[in-house]
Amino acid sequence: MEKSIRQKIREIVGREHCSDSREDLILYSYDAMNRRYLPDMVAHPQTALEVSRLLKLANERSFPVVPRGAGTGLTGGSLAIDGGLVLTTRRMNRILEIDPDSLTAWVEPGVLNGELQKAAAKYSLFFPPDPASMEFSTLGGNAAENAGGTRAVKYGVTRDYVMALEVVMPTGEIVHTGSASIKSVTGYDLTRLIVGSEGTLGVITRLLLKLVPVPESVGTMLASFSEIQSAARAVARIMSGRVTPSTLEFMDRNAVECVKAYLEEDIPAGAAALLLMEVDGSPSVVEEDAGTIEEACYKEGALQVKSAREADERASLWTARRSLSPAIMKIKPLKINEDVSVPRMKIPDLITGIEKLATRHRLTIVNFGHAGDGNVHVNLLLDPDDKDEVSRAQEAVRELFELVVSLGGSLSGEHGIGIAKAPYLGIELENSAIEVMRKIKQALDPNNILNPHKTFDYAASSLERELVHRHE
Amino acid sequence: MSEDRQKRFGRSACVKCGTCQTVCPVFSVLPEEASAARGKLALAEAVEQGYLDESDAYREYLEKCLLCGACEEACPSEVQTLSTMLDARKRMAGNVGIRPAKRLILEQVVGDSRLLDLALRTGRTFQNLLFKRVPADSGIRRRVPLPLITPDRTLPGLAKTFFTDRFSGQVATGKGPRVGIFAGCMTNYLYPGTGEKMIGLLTREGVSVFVPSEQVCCGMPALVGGASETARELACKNLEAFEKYGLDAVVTGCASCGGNLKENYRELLLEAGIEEKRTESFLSKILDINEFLHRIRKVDAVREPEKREDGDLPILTVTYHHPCHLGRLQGVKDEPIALIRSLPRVRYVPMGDNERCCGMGGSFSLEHYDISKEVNDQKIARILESGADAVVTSCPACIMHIRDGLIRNGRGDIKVLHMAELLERYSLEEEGEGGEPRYGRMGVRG
Repeated sequence: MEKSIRQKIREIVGREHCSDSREDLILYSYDAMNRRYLPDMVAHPQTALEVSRLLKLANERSFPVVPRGAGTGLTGGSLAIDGGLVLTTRRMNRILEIDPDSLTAWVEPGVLNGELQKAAAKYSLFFPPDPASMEFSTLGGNAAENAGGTRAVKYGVTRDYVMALEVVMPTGEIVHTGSASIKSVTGYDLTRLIVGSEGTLGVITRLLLKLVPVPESVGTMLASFSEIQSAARAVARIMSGRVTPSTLEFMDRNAVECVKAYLEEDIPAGAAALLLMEVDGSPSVVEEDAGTIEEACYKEGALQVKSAREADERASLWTARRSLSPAIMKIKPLKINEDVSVPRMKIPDLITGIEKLATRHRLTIVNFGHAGDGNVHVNLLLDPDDKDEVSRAQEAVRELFELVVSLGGSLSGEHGIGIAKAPYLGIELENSAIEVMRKIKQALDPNNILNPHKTFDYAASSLERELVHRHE
Repeated sequence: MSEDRQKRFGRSACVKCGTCQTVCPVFSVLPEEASAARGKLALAEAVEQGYLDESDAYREYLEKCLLCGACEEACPSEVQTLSTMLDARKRMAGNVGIRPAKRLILEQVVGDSRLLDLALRTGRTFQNLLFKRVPADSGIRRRVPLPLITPDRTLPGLAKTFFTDRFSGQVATGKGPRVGIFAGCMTNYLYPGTGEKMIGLLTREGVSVFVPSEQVCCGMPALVGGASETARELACKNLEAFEKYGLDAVVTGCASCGGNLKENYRELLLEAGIEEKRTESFLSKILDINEFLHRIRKVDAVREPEKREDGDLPILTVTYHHPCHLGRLQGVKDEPIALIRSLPRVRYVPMGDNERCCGMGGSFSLEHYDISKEVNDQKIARILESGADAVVTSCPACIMHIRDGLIRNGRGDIKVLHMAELLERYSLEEEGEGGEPRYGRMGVRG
């Protein structure tokens, strides 16, 4: 990056709000995908106008701009793979307004999801999207990645809670999308186009979000089954029985094995699948729904159903789920987590298919995730120093995606495509659909400066290269 | 552009998820990438793999850390952040050296116990010239501009008589076990009263109490500052000082010294060539005062007594702050609270975030008082919310910082007590004959 460009950037955001020291470039070279690409410069603008000026400069002088929230994405969406400028939303971090009458909040993109939850709680409101990173990921990032979470089965995902946006387009225009009114069909739905576009179509500088009243009470249940098929049948029975749980998580046999050590008390011998479920609403609804769920589980052969209403008892039922990630890390040094998604009735087929894959490729695969919405976290565990195992895993990942698509599923439920899954886009999307996306990108970003090569242009990289980069 | 951009800094156990940011006190006041463990680990990895020099900026980023260990406890990948940071500091000291003034202090003064003693005696003589006493005898504030000490900071003055000047060798004889007191510098030079209370408490438990006069600084400042040779020498001196008394236990009232003795001495002593058996024997005797009293009083067996007023001693409402180096580092969390609950004229009220660092972080508070103060303000807010008349803790450094914070926030009326002070004053029972304490019902000896 030329000196004169750096100087211009300093003039736009202020010398103290940007850096090109080696230390700072390293600090903004990674995200939770855990790969490293050094940018040429990092800037922390505070206003849409500053963002606009930076993007206009980028078009004039032709350098890539990579928007970044907290850098907690899992698919490399905020990595500066071509260098250039990393543009953080760190200083755009104000909650501008919470309106308890219209149940909405205006926020800047750098506000953490958890911060909004705390502020909304004062009005007995909450923001339903709850990605695992909610305490440390930003709302701008959540919207750009269209983040999900455990409550999606009842409440939906981030896109369902974004009403309006202020966006700086790749060419620098400041655009306002959407409306504060619930019904609005004026023009194309640009809000939904920007949400989930992974920072390739615009930089979000302000969001109008929907909030929801906190339910009066919550009931939590942990059901154990001797096989995944009966757990799946229980899910079907629950979902078709007028009850919509607010959370419906499952863990497969390997996952149960991983966490057994943490919670002998709550899991009966012979358990090979767990369902963790929550229902919320008025106390009488919670009692009724919990009863319906318990009955459904026993009818499908549950070994045991534990139920809790008080906060501390509920937390203890969550122990299994919460201790899973650290427990998995202990088996092998490397975990590849693919967050595939299938229509929820296909989960047993998916698990059976994955078990076959694991046997054929001699791999340990642990599955858990959101049974209620069909979003399964498939964890391939391996030793990065075992080259043979690594190549078997690469093969298994491709076959997994093919299996998922054959079941009518999707490559990613909530983590995004970024660079991690870009090489596989064609497995799910037909060429004509990819071509439409490409045309949209070209129309909005003719010089290809905003987060280039994310989502679809990273096909040049094979999975092999990706693994090498991640772990050497 | 892209190929040569793909600089990779290699693998570490840290997967850069960012969870550490939710618990890091420094990140809470300075929310930037370098503040929490993820950023510091990324920098340390880059240095280790040769992608970054150990620059001044690197040093500054690395040192902006309280070493409170909250990140390590929260890390889903169980990354050993504390030891990684200490290693990085050690490596930096070895490669680019410690700043000359700091080196002088760490190696020549802290490392030489006589010189440290002399320096502090001299300091005591002149402290009235440089510092003024603030009202209510709550501490001292600087009178003249001094490096590293801001005018709004209240510090305890150096004691008129140092602890080891008043007590040395065998100071109490009893039938129970032989117990040595490891005072630590803060207790010795700033808070000798805490040491005195410890002696009182231990004496009443019927143990023989020793204060080895040859004991020196535990070496924590040297270790954290990267001066590992000095830390090794100090560790050896302390081993020898305590060994000669044939003790059953070595008890300390300083969370940081205790943490250092338990966590770092094994490596330091073995590196210094002390044989394993000798090292293990010394280490097995080290206990925090809370652990020792909890064991000897068998507090678990006691139901919380009904709280009763007494003419001289009205019921005191206290809350407890867990020092990072006692709670997280040594895992001593339940003992102090059980001890407090066992006191008949003390009511315990919980404090929110009671395991969060007070912001002191040793020399961190000198070099980064602005951050340290803001972290401390969060702690003060939690103390005020608890509604307690007094906050109790088990670390002289926390006491110093919390007292400073309460005064700064206009709440100097809230007492800050060491556990030894609270227990010494409130363990008395009204039925005790002639004011003598009776611990029989608490199940002391056994």
